[in-house]
Amino acid sequence: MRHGVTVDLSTENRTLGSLSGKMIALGTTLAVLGLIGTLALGNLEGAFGGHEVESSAAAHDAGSHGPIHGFVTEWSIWHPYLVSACFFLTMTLGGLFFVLVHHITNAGWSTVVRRLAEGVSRNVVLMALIFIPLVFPDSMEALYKWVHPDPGDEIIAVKSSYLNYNWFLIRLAIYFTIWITFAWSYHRSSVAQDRDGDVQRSSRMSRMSPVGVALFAMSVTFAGYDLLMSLDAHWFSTIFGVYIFAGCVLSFHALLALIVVFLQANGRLTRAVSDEHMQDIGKMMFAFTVFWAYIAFSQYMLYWYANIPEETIWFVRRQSTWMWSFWSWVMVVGHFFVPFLFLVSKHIKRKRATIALGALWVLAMHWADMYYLVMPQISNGTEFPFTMIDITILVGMAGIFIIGLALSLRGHSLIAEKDPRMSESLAFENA
Amino acid sequence: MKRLLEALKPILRPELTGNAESPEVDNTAYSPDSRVDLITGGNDNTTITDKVCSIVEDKPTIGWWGFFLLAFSVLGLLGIFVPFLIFWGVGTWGVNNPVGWGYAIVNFVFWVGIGHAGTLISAILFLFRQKWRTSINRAAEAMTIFAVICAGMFPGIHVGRAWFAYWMFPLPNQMELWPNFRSPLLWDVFAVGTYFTVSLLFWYMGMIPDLATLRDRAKNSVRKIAYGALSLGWTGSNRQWHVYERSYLLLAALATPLVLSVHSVVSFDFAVSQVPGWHTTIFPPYFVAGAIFSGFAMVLTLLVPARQLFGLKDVITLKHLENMNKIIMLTGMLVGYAYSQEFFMAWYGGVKVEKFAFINRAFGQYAWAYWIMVSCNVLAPQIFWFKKMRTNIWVMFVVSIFVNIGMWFERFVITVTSLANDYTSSAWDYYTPKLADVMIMLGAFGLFFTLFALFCRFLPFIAMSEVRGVLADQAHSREAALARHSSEADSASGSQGEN
Repeated sequence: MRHGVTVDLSTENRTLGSLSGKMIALGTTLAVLGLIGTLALGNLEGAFGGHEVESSAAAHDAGSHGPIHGFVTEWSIWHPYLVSACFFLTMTLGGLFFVLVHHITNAGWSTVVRRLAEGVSRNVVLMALIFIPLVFPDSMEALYKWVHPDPGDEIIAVKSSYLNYNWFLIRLAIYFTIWITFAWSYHRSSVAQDRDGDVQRSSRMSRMSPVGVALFAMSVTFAGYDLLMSLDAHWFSTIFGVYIFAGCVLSFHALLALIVVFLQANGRLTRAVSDEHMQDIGKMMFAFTVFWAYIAFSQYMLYWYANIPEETIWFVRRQSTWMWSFWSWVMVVGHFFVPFLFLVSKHIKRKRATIALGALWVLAMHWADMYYLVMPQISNGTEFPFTMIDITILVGMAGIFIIGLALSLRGHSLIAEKDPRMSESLAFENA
Repeated sequence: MKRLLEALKPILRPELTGNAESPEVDNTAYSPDSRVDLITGGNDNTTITDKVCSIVEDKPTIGWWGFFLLAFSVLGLLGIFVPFLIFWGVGTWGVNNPVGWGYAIVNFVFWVGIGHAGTLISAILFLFRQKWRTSINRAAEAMTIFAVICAGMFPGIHVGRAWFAYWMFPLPNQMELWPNFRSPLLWDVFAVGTYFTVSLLFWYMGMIPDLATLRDRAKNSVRKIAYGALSLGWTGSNRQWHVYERSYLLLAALATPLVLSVHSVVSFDFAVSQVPGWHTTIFPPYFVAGAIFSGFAMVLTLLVPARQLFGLKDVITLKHLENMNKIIMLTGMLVGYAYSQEFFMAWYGGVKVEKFAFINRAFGQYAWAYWIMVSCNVLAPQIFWFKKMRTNIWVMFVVSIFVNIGMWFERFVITVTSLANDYTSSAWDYYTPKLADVMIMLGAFGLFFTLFALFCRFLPFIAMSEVRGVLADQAHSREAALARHSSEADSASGSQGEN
């Protein structure tokens, strides 16, 4: 502890100010580029037409003599859309988790960056908007086989009381209601404290946080099942919710590191957030890199070892062609070993340039992970479905995400001004 | 009646030491703008040292002897029934044809689980900078070591031919006979072995400064030599402290993955198989959560009476207990989460035998065990939502016992229900333990409590050197608060003056 050392915040630039305009301009540029790129490339790929014909032809095939799959084998524009939407959704939810855990543990160190996490978590409203195009019958049909299962598909029939269009919509609405309620109420309460300095707000938020974490756990788990696991409606894994959760927390900490580096490069929060805080954010990235690997390994190893066809098929599809095998190895090496080794050192975690590099890498890997979850069922894994649309949609959504972040962070301080733990957080030092 | 109570008072309240009864101070009041005092009762370095050392230095009282002798006699059951088992073979157990894994594996998993709290407290809570761990880590780590010893005993005796137990180790031999490296049972040998070694090292290393304190206070030569040898020439120099703290951090970082790995490997014993109810991917994190859950419950079961007996209520305060209760509540709900996901997936997966396995657990012939498990593990800790309950000594003691029972039954439910009713219904059978099963299980508790009683008697019960650090922080923050208060008072009076 740096006893007695106080950080003078009176001269610190603690608002987004003109930076919000820059962020919105950048976001708009990216969003427009992404949109134009997607439209142009999408037309080339025939993503906007002909889909109906193909899918009905495929359904006809499957109905007559083809194998019964629990998944859609046709590429559609909604596949890359879902990859990037889940990429940003998980990150946003990681922010909500960070805020809730801060309060549940009465944490000290993280107070200076909590407002940024609250800002990110508020983007969940934006994510709800991004998910709207996905829930139309056409796009759902293009993604999920269970919307119109093959006749004679007994496995989907068993779970049709869970996997059906209406119930799916209701569940999605429930998840987003939970997330939006918690993200907004915690942000509002925190900003209100900036004005009135009422410490009771902190106790109230602390008291509610266990309820929030419990609801968060259940909603993220089932959202993971619904949005990603049910892409192959035959496949199941009890650890899948934990896998998604690991990705949420890991990717959020990477995003948080990037936001801090970006703000500090633009003269914001240069003293409030110190090397010490960066080191802790880096430690969390390190910890969740390992945690993700632990969960991913558990899932893979147990299915590989028992070697039951209905379970291994999910992995077989991801390693029977050389490109998907390569992608699987990217998960092992790039998602685990590289950041694991990179983030061990304290100096790496404290230097802005290196932590930003690590964070970018982790985010890229998280996107690759979402890609790995969604795409391999296309053509049953026999072809590698990568197109430039994957990238243009990512760029476009990143633009929208940045605009949302700018709107979410502006209009109030970038730190929780009158949080009673602020002085403890400012003085924080890794002993 | 009154006179009887008077006469029994020294036995009912068998203060082990000359420590005066310390009053129960409620230091759990949550305040968002300050941190509570972790050590109450106006203790300073001297009083802490005196309190902790007197447990070892004073003559043991009737209470300690009573506890020790009781535990030691229960341990005697092992002395009778283990030779009995080795002589007659596993036929003395209730295991039958489908249920080849009975009490032995249940007890093994139970004890390994208990052995998780110590390392979690000393390694993971250390990395999370949870200062409250300092009052409880020593006892919890000791408990970990003893629990792993109890656990390690079971594979040794349940191999059937105990004299070949050393075959579990990959020893070079003329018969070219090697253990099956693809079997998770062998991975257990390595996982538990590593865990035991590292926990022991961690525990011992953390104890060195305190052993040196005992050495320096020793009044007879036996103690001087014993504690002198154990403290490895510790002088408390700056340089030694520097090296000590570096290595403590390193060991903590190395021990952290072990907290996860050991019970994950134990869960592989079940989950790599194709047995319905065992083969499910959430098993590794679910077992780890359960292990921490049961470990913390056992720490509470031991510490609630111990702090009373040793007059340590101002060192292991209500705040410490409340924090442990919160962890019990959290991990209890994680376990509940796993139960619910298993159940959901058994239905969602559409695999008939899997669905049957879970319905059979809840409503079949072992439903009684299943509902004991659910009520003890999921429902009982819910009472900790209420602060009054999680700061009530009696409530937490009772809940901790419930959790111990519930976690034993969890392993029973997993092991026995899945084996008793698997794919081939013609081979189903009901498992009933025999006398030897029950006696060996009880004997393991005897071993555990005997070792714990000896630990209380001969080793420093509290990490004195670490508690001194907490005291220093506490004094410092109090000074800072005073300074802040007086400067606020100054500015307030100044503004009044202007008016």
